[in-house]
Amino acid sequence: MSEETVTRHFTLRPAFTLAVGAFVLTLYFVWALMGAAPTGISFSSDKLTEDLPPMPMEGVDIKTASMEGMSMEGDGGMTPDQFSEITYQFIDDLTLEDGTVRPTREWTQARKLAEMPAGMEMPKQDAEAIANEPIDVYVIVQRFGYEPGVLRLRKGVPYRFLMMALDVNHGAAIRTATAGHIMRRPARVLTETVMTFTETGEFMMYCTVYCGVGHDQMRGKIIVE
Amino acid sequence: MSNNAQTAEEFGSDSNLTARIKRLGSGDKKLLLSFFTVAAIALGFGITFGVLTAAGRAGIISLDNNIAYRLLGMHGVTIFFYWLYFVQAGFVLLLAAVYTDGAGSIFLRPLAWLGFLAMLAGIIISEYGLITSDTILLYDGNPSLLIDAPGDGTFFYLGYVMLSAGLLLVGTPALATALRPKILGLGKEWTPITFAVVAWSGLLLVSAVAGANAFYPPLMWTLGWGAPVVGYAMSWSVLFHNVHYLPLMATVVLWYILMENLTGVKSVFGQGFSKVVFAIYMIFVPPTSLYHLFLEPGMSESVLAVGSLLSLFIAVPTILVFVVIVASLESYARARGGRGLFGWIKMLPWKNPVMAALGMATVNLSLGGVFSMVLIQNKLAVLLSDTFYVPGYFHFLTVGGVSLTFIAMLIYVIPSLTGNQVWRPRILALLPKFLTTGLALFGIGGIAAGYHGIPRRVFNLGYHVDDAIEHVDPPFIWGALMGFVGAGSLVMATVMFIYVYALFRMLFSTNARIGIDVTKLRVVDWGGTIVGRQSAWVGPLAIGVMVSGMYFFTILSFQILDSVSIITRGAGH
Repeated sequence: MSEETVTRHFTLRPAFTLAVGAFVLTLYFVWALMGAAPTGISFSSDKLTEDLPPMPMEGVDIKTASMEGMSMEGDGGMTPDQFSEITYQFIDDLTLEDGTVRPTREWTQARKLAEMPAGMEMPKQDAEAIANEPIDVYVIVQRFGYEPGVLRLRKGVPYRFLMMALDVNHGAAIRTATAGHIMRRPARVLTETVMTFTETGEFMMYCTVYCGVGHDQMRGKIIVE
Repeated sequence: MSNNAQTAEEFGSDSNLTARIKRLGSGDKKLLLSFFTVAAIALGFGITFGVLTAAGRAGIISLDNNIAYRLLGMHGVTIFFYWLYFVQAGFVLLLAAVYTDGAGSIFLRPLAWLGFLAMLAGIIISEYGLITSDTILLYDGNPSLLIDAPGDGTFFYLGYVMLSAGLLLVGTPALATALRPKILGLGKEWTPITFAVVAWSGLLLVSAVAGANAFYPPLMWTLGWGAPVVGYAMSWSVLFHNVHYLPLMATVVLWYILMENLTGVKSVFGQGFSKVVFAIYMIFVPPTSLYHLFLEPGMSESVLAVGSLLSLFIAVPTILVFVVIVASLESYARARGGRGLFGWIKMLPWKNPVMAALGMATVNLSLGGVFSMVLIQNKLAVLLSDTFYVPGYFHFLTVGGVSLTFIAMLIYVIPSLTGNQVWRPRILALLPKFLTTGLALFGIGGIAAGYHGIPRRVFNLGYHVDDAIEHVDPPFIWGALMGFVGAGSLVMATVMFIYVYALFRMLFSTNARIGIDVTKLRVVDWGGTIVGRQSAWVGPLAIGVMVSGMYFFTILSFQILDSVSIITRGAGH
């Protein structure tokens, strides 16, 4: 296709051009430097590789259980009705005078105990292990808000956020002092995320997945003390 | 302007695009003009919906949510699906006919007309559905929003299904036009352009199938003839991936064609290499769609990792075409006396509105490329996905890169088809710089907004509530950044409206006083020059700068992610 054949400068050779095209692949090394290389190569240790206890994905690890006054069924999942029932109990039990909800370790332990099949006992844990256990936080996500609407949490304490979008797909982003933390919550799927807040403050929770005309009214609040 | 500048008429060999188009029969011309007319109408309406949306977000105008979300949905559907597909359908039919040796006309033209009618029905039905439906869907047509009233989505999905059928009917004759001479032994070996057109037509057919796969089940569900849709996110992401990489491939194919027409320069790397590069698109595009699902809860770490890794490869073919074109231009320009690292660039015919558009399109596409490579890192999805970062970066690609290139092509193609003049070429040559200025405001504001966590589809960022406990103020900067976005969108829209007006003048007006014949547009003819000894460093240098930008923004993003005062573990981050 070239007009005449002459000795080519090396910048006009296909091999050099291919090398230039492949140069973008070196971005991989930046990922590695940041501890985010897909193969697990890491030259740094930051919060992405935080050594937290391994957590189950999705809702499938929420065990089928029976609590007093609650009927749960299924193959390890949870129906929206069951989730709502637990969440409203969570809200009823833990709402403070100002209307905010403060999750507690005691409530989490009590619920775990209630989930145990009859005749089984809770495995014994030392105080330190119990103190490191995440505290459960139940949040209903639905058009156009979150329940509970205002959570009161403690800095440095791990919380296990159990969330379910009851109607359509939603988001549950949290705006911290510097940036947003984006999370998606698909319809009728129980999601589980352990979060530890490292700073105090009042953080807004908001929906980032279009869910209808009231999408921009969908907000909640997390107070970290 | 260089001293060897001339007009296309003087330069005008039979290989010239204008000359090739003029040889088409009137039946073919009518068909192609029908596609380009509807494309221009869709572009005009799409921009109108878009600028109203942006102005609403910026608080420049007050919009009721019922109107605002409807406008946002109409913007996405009209621009992203109908403008891009109507114009591409016209291009593949045109290029298959004029660049395939032994073709000379559109084969199976009645089928293409049927495709046009199906697509026309599609756009009318889609817009009707968007205007009249009580449940407002956005362009992604998420069926879970219709849980309370499935019937509200019938026209929406029917429009998309008609579009898919139309693409199938158009892609087939385009492919047949390119294949027939080869099968019958009528022409010589395919040129890289014919090869690329075949790939492009093939991917249009893939789009048609992916569209039907995504939209037919929800259509049946809304009619009460099918079960609720399961797995829509996956079928949508497969389609969506195809929809936005196909125009990218189309863009670089058009660069290749237009540069040859503007300068007489062909690739110094040879036809075989160009074919390999276009083939890489077909290899790399399909398996890289995983990154659209990074935020979906339940995606395994290994899938996320593979998704990130594969996505790295998506930039390779685009970079290769860019380097092939720039290196070819540079070596020819240097052989013609071009001096200095960048001095040769001045020899290009910048007063030609097509050249001016292509120059800025490469800049915008590079910027979009830099920012897009941040999003392919799955660990950063938790920071930026679903935020305004996404429209912030993709407008560089879709408006500043893809649409600007398509418009540049139309500036050549429409007057060649109609015999009308190019409307005010001096004004058209200035527009790309203004468009890029608007894009810069919109894009920088949008990308910064993304880093600040501003959601991409929220109109009222006040989040006001009359309760002391529940109340929390969003950061002040949220509103300020949306001001940038609004201002940028007004500039962008103004430029695009002028372009649309120009397209209509070229389609329907023959005013000689303010126009110029397409063959009189300035070009340079560097063909026949002995090249190869000269170095060509600007392409590699530009890629070096671009990849450095990717490094910078990736590291910056990780730093910002590190500043977020939440440590997480578990589903969906």
